[in-house]
Amino acid sequence: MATTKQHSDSAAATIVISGRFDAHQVPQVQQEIDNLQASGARFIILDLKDVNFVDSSALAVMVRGMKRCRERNGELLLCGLRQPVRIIFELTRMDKAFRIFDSEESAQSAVIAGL
Amino acid sequence: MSARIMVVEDDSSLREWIQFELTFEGYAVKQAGDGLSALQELRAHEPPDLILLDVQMPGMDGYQVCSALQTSPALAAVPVIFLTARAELNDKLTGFAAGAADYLTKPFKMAELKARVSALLRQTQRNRTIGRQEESERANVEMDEAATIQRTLMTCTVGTVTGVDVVANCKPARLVGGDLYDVHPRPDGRLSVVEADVSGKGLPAAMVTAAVRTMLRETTHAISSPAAVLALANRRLYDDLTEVSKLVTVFVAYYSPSQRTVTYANAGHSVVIYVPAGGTASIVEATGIPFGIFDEADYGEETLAMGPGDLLVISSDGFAEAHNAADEIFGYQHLVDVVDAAANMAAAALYEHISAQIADFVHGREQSDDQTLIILKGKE
Repeated sequence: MATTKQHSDSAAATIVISGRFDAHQVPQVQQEIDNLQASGARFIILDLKDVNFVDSSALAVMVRGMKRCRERNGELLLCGLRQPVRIIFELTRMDKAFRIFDSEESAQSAVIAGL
Repeated sequence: MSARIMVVEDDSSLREWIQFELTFEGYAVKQAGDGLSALQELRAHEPPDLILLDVQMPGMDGYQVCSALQTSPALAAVPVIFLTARAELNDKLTGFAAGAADYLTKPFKMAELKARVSALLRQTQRNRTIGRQEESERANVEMDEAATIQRTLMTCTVGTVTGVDVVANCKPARLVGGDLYDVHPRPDGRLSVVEADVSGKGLPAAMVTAAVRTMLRETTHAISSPAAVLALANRRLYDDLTEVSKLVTVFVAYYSPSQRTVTYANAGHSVVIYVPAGGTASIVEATGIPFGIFDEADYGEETLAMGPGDLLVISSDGFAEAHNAADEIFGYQHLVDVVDAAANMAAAALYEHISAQIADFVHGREQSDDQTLIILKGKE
């Protein structure tokens, strides 16, 4: 499941994803990212603290979101990676491609501080 | 959903009667009192399933309406029953020539009209079902062909390269998939070993593998450094991968029979496992990121011994990430442990062993991702 939180006083909109982040969830997450970008969001946080697995199509949709944020001088940030998810990022070296934070708060702070 | 019928009849009492009776039968009925308004109504809306058409009407007659219908692809497919007082053979022939499916002479019994309507609608339904079946059969035949082509394009040719046993196999989750392997001798006498995994699966991923395979075949043939192969292939594929929102993990290794070594570069491909003869298994880490993330990416290059008994297992993520019915994954460390415990097996036997371990774990749950495995084992 994916839900978007957007507070008027927060620097970045956050999409909270839970469960298996795989081909079944990818279309919804992609839609949420597209909606946020269409409404002008430059910084988007994907909160993965409740995600226990990501597959290659999920990695692909995160990269797609990251590229589009960077085109708009923004950034797609990840936070809350649990151990099984962190391993996938490390094995694929994708941890080198993303800005990854421990918590949503630290990701928000980084956006406020200009990354 | 109830079938939709259009009644075109200038005699309003007959029209109302037909509408009443057919509505009672559960059909959705619309009516028109002359040819021209019938045509306007038919062209403006979704075509009905059947048309009842009077022949003698003021203005446009039924034959003219029917001929006009034949010029529109959507309306030409709608069966027409003519209603007429004319009972001459010639009139009937004119009606059929104009495109009628059936013919009913006035006065008629309502029971007969209903029977003919129902028979024609059944026939249309049957034709639609047959059409769908033919379409799906054609799609199946094409997918089978695509699967054959994809299998044929994956080759494991060792040629005259000595000193190593190689086993390679790919099992897509569907008929075709996003994994590929390619093993072929290079002009310098080394053996090029390539495995790649395009994100996603099925036909969309398979279409990308065709481009990736060509690029890797060309670059591994021409370029003597695996790291340089990855950097160039990523740069060349980057724009297309961005367009289609795909990533590709790639492992490229060159085995040298004279040195008995393997030199590799790894663009995020996992899990690759190395076991030196008599030693313990460990994961061969990526030396750079997958294709399709940055247009300029650098890759490191490492060399491993591939003497007698040394073992390299290159597996796509479909193995370590295989799921069982309880939604648990097989696990990376689990795969390393399986390889470690069976490292003394010959390449072909090890392949069977790993496949059996995975099959045992998933226990009949449908394979959810493509599974590709290359095993290199140094000979005595």
